Amino acid sequence: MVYDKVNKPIRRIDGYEKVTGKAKFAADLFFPNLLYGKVLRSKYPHAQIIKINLDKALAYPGVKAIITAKDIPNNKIGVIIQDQQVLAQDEVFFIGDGIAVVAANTLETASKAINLIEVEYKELPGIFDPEEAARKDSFLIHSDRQNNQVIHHRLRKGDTEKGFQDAEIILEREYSTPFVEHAYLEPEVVVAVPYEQNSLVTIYGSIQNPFACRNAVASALKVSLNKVRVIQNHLGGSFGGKDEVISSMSVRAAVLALKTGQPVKLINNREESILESYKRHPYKMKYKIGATREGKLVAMEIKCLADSGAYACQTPFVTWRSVVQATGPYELPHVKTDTYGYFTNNIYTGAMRGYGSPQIIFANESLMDELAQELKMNPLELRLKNIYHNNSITASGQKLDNHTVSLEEVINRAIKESDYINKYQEYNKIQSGDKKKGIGMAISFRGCSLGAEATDAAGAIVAVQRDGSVLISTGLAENGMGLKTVFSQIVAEELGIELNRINYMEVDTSVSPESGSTVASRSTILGGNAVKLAAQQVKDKILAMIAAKYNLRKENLYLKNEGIYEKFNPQKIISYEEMIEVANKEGIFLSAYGWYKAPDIFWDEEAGQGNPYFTYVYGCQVAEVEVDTATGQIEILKITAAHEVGKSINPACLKGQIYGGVIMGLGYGIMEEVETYQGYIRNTNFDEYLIPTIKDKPDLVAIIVENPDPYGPYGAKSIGEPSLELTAAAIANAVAQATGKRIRNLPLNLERVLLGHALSREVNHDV
Amino acid sequence: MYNYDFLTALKIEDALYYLDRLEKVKILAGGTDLIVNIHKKSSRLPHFDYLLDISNIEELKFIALKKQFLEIGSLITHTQLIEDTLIAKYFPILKFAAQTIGSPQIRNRGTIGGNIVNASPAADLLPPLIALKARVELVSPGGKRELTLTEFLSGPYQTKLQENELLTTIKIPLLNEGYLANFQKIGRRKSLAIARLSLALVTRIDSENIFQDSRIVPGSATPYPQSFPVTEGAVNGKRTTDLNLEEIGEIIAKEMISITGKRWSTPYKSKALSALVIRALKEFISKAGTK
Repeated sequence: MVYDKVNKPIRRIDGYEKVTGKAKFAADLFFPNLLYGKVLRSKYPHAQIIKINLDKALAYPGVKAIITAKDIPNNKIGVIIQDQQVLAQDEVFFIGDGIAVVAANTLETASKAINLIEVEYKELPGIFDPEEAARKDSFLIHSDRQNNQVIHHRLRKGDTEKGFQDAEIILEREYSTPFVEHAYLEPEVVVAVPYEQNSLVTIYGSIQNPFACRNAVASALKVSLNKVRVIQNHLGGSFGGKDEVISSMSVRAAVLALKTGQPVKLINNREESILESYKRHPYKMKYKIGATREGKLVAMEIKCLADSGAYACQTPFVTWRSVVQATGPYELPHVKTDTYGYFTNNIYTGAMRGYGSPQIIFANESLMDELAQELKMNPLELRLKNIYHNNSITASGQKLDNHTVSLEEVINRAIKESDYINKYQEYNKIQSGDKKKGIGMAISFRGCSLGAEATDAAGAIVAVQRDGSVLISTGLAENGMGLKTVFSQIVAEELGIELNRINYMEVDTSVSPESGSTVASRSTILGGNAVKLAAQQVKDKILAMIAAKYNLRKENLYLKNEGIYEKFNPQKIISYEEMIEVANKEGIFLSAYGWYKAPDIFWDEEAGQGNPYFTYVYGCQVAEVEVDTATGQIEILKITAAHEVGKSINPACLKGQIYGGVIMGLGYGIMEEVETYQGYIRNTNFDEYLIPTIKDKPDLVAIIVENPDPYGPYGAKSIGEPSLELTAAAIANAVAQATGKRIRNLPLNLERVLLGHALSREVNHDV
Repeated sequence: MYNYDFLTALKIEDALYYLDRLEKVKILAGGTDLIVNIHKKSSRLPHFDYLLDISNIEELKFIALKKQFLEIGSLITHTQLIEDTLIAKYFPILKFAAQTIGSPQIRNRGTIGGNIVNASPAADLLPPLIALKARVELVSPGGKRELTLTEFLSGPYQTKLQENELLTTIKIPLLNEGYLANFQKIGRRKSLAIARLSLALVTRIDSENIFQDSRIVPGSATPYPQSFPVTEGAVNGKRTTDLNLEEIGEIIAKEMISITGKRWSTPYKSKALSALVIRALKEFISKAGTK
């Protein structure tokens, strides 16, 4: 099928305003009588609050209001479990917990006033290690719970005991990954405006998930959803990060706005952002794998421990994705996987691009290379012996029979492009000098969209205006990945019109159809279907109208090149604008709602089996590195990233996702780590929290593999998260080949590469 | 938050006037360290009541070749060091070191004088400047004095700069024929990286292929950059063909530990520092061999 507007690298529709600086971000918003909020945060990672004295701060000139927990009608929020304090009530559970928020005439005044708030604490001992939290004699972090366990997921297939008996080789390995920060360019900002246009409160902001934010604000204020309006601004990056933290800020700003009757802007500076915003979960992972001498996998036993920090946040679902995907894309008769999340007094952890997959992929793909080495087998050969193909049965018992399982294809493409086979042989030879080269690969399968986490549906409105211009509104939000462009391309394709006729509206929760959150790499596949359905309904009305008017068969008509045509007749019947005039005259409503609900799936939590996702994407990345074995420096020479995406709606945006994901994965692999010690965070700005710069960018090759999926719009699936999840594992395998030493803890920093273990001022965290 | 008055000087004498009359004055040159410290409320930043902006004093922006010295005005930026032809001709090591600093923005703002006065253990220009035996000229209303950098630096983030003094000129003695110089830096990423470790090595290999006048100065290895006389002594007088590189590697690591004691970072730094010195010497030896 040849398309006119989709499957084309069309320029981003929001590109111009962003590159010219015209785009308004939340911090750019001003309102009459605007107040500025500032949060007083905890002094300790765990403490009881004995007393809060606001008198001096309230008396400070320019201060309009101060709120504490008792001003919040319902102080507990959370998407999955409502345990997150908007402001600390009697106890602070982590160093970023807020205690009070000041609203004042200027940010300077608010900043000074928070220092005048007197808080009397009783410092309490804390738990900073999930293994300690799991012990029976540990104190309860949340006293209303039975123990410190947030969640335990299981997956069971076959009989691992028997499997290991049959195995000719068994390896047991432990891996760990650190806290990492999303490091979006734009720190969190919200503005709450009271009593604006019939809403009790309107929230503007750098909000990833406007509907989740609305839920939180309405629930905290104890008002109905239609009283709260959330409007998304341009987002300076999110990567899963602007969800609960933004919800919490929105509630604080809303309460202050309602208390003062004035708009309130709440801005996190970078230090506040790193202190307060949730991180990627650190994992400790124990893997046991059994195989035959020929390299056929027979059994795997996996135990993963995730540090949830102070609150449950997304831990229940993050660890669920881990339990489903923990083996990697390999056929295995016997699997036993357990993933756990535990509360600690560390910073809380939540969604971040990858969502429980980068951790387990680092482990399972390192393990595959370790096994290959034990078997004296090429890592590629070992993988090819065990990977999923069409009709393979996954660890959860799902038969992969409804889409093309593209694993072998992505592997072959990446291997060929990177010259893996020759280079692997070459780098296995003894290399002279300190600088050693290595090449490594990693592969994955990834369930698209939410899976069995929650109801999975999305909506869109396509509204043709009197002049033929079109407004699109969906409930999924542009977080920077190109959603507006992709959705506009779909409408343009269906209606046969040019993109400049389309204006894409920001998400406004009072107008846009609620579509769940913009997460799980689900926008194109779910939202794209909704937009397509809406556009098709409009198209249908146009075709019916023209068929009736010209006495033609509707099924022979089609829209293209700004006009309507009949099959086998190159002559345009009438132009798009003429069609619109007809519709205007005849009073035909050319707007439609599209609603797409994902195909059914199921998950049996007790049995640890099911069909958790309705389709999957497949990826293979190959990293080529040069390691300075005398200093521990790693130079990433080249990353080849082959990803099967079903169908690419916009190959340019898609490659952008791959490039960005790979660089983010590179940072995860070799430099990023939020350093915590006893619950305190050491590196709260980018002078010490290092992310890759453009100088760290290796030669990057993105390969798009297309095997249209029956459920995706035009066959399209996902790319956002798959692009990141493989890179660290591929780099670790390349470094292991170069140095002959395996590093099982991320990041592969100077010390680990040179010494084999990390150094820290206090303790050695490596497993 | 700090409360201070902001002053601007357009001439050296204006700056000296303020420094003489007022107390607790902090000098702002490029600001690439100072502004960050103000933002961080760094404990390293002493209390100040005045911020004196000297960045527009044109008299301090020069690079001039004198009979025995190359003289560099204290407000010369890292970018200017990189682009200057005299620097490239006489002291390319300074160019290399300046290229490793921060980002284009930082290199455009940050100055050689600021890098010296800030006296960070990780200052990228200090190891090469010390190895080049650079001197600093300090001017006060009472006159001027000259110190070697070794004399000038007195501790981590500490110098002997008096409250009424301004660092105006860096004077680098010109090197005779036969000198070689090398600068290496290890960072956690390729740019915008504070040195995890660096090493400047300047030496002369005479006609007999014997090392003479070696100056070995690591950065980020000691509380503040300083020469390593023991290691220098171990290299000097050795013929290029006789030098036991592994042994020099061990000596430099030991010398570092003798200064710092064992620290949490010692296992990494002692190994890596050995590697850097071996690498520099190897390069010199191969250059000498090809002559």
